[in-house]
Amino acid sequence: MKRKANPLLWFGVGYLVLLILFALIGPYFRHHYMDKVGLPLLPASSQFWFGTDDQGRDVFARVAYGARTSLFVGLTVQAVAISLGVLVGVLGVMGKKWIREPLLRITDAMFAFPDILLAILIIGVWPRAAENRVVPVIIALSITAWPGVARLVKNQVATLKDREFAVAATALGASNFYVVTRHIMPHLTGVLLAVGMVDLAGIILAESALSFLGIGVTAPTPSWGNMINDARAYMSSNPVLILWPCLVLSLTIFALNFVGDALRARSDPKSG
Amino acid sequence: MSLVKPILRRILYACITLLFLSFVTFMADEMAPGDQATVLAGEKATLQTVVELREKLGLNRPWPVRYGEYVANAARLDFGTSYYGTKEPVIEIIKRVLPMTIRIAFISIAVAALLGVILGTLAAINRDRWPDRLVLLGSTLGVTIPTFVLAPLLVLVFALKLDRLPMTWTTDRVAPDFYYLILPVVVLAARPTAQLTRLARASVIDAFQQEFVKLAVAKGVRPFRLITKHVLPNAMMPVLTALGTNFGFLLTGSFIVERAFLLPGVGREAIEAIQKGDTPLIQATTLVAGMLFVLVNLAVDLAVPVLDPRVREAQV
Repeated sequence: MKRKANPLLWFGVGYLVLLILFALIGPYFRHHYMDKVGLPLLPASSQFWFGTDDQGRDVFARVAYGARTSLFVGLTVQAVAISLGVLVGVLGVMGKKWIREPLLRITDAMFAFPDILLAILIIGVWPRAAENRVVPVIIALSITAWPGVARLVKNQVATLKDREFAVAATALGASNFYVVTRHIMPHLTGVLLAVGMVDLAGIILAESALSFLGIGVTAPTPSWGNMINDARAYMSSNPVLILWPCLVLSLTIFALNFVGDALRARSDPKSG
Repeated sequence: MSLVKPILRRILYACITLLFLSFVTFMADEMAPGDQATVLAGEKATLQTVVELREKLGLNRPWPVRYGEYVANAARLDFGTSYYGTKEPVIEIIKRVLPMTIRIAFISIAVAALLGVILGTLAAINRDRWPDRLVLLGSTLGVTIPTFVLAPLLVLVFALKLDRLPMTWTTDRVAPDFYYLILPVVVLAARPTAQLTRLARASVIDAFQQEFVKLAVAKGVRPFRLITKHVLPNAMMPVLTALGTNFGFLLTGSFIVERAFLLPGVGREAIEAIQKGDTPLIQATTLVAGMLFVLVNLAVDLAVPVLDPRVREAQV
């Protein structure tokens, strides 16, 4: 058995633990993320670890709040997408024909939209009363994210339901519900966790992209995307300002991908 | 020809997808609060005027009727008029901005395909040696680094520090357009290039395991000829099919690139429309981007059986 420790996996896990801590206490650690605490555009110092932004707010606290925004949006979307995706994926295989066919058609049709274009459309027609747009972003990204999960679950369930243990359980008189929850789903948790990590990276990217475009999470609520966009105006005078959110976002994406890939290699011995 | 039937089926499928796209854009407007009447009547209008206007515009009719009309109009490239500004017909705006998006998207996908195949092949030939590791590292970076992080970083280095390239597109361009498009294309092509490189590498490695390649090696075919005549034609099909999906990433990437470099394209227009709440323009830009995606995928799917005799025979 080759199961040697994967340094990238542990780097990823370590980074993510730090990120969660950062998101929990960072926004209020030294300074409150919304307070004007110093002169604008100060360089990094012992008082302001990442410097201050154009309005004199602590960049460290704001990047930390950006982590909170990204993780909150990412995990909420993922929870909705996985629940919906598992439901549709399972019903798409085990359901009666009249429920199976439309579900599969709808799932396929969702792939007609390139990447996050559907999210852009949904946010586009959303009433603009919403304060910082966190809710429309979550809804739009959930709607775009579930078909991928549904397709994966559908394919997995379709092969698993013909395996001996599932057939045997059915032969012994177990209901479909029992077979799915007790015999099939436990096989899926590993894959879902691995794919969930990689997808989480994709959702965090999508949220940041929308915020960068100015149609996602809007100021003054900090998000890495809108911080990168706002910092572009000060790029010639104060380039460090843009580097912090870029760095933390890129590391987060790397870490999630490392962890996801390592978990996938573990849950699927063939691909290792 | 026996190919006619699958081709017709594929075209029919593309038409259904387009109908679905139009349905979703139509429904998005339906579900949104407020309609054409409330916008045209203005903020101070009484309920009476809004109701009358709604009657006049035919917004009282049931939605299936209006959806039919929407599709019929869209088929004649009539997407209505913009809510704001000079109330310009939306199609005029699209005509103005579409060429830029098509330009950067197609240059980028061409660059990505070419570079991806070359780098992927180089990596595959030198499997597990330093060129391979370098290419793999580069492609991992390329896949994971976000477009909107890469764009400002490259501007920082090449426009601000080195001062070699312009920061953004402007109306008073002093150099040929080419210089203004280098950075946008590099940013836009980065992710597809990385992905196609990985795919080409895997695919070339796969082709090397095939019997006919082993035979060619045994016959003493020269390396260059071996790659170009025996390996690549067989390894290219997965890359070709992946062009379609990658074009999707590229389209949303173009939204970001157009905003970052101020390029007058569909994406930038869409974002401005969203910020103003200009629904007809939002619908049309989404529909046009979706159409591009569907058409490119259709072209790819039609090209595969033409180029690959194995697929052609399987479909007969």
